[in-house]
Amino acid sequence: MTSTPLIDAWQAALASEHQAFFGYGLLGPRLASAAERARARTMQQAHATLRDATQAALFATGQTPVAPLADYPALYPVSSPKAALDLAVRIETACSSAWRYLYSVAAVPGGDASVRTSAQQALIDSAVRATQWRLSAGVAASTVAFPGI
Amino acid sequence: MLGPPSARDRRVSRRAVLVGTAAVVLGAGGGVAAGELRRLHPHHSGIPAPADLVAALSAEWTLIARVEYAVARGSVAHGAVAAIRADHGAHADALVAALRDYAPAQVPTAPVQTAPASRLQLRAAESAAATRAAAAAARLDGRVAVLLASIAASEASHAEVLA
Repeated sequence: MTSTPLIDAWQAALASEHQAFFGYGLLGPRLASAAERARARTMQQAHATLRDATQAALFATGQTPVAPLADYPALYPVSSPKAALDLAVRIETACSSAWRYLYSVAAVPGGDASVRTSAQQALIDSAVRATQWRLSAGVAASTVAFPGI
Repeated sequence: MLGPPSARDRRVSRRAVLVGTAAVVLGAGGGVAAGELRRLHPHHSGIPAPADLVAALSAEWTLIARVEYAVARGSVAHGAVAAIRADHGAHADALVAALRDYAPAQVPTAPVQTAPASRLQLRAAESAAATRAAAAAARLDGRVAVLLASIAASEASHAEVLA
């Protein structure tokens, strides 16, 4: 498997999506309301869709996509509804960082425009989802000026 | 570089602000560029500033003006948009800093706000700004592209807050 800064960043973005999918399964049942649990399921599905698309794109360039880990100890414990909301924000923030980093690696003259487009959309989606969870948590500053940084 | 201002814009704002070798001081109350100019970075590259970067700064000033006008009119509560206003201030600061790497550029200041500014209209403005920033990022390379990509994500999240 070829390792380049772009491929490494792309694989890291995929790894963040694996973590997000796992994390939503962990936090979803801890959320307080049915609406929040439904939103968590929707977001988990969105991460699964992006994960699958990212794996396919990596395959198409001759790469072997990174596999999910068996467990993600850093995500535990999720012992309360508040902890679940906090974890959801952390998960989305991690995804934002990974996609923004991929964007930065791809944003070079002659860089892969399709990778940039995917990374931009994923960055936006994660930032919006993080905001939704901050709003649920009642955080006053529900947005950040520079998502992914 | 930038499209011509509308007739109303020309009436209410004929000023332009130099950035690049200049420091721009944001008006303390108005949030719109006050036009204090000072030489800070005399050793800029001399390369003309990308039009997309200049337009992005102008767009941030306009968004700040819209948010402040909406608060002043009572269309939205200050607390509801304080973080959004702060984000736009940070965006503007970052764009001014990025423009210092280039030759001085004329940046139109925000037109005086007179139109209705409901929560939904602010939301539409944020959503449109996110789309424009993402498109501008795609036309640029390097750190200014990444900056605009991140600003696009921030503004998309503003639209979510205003939903």
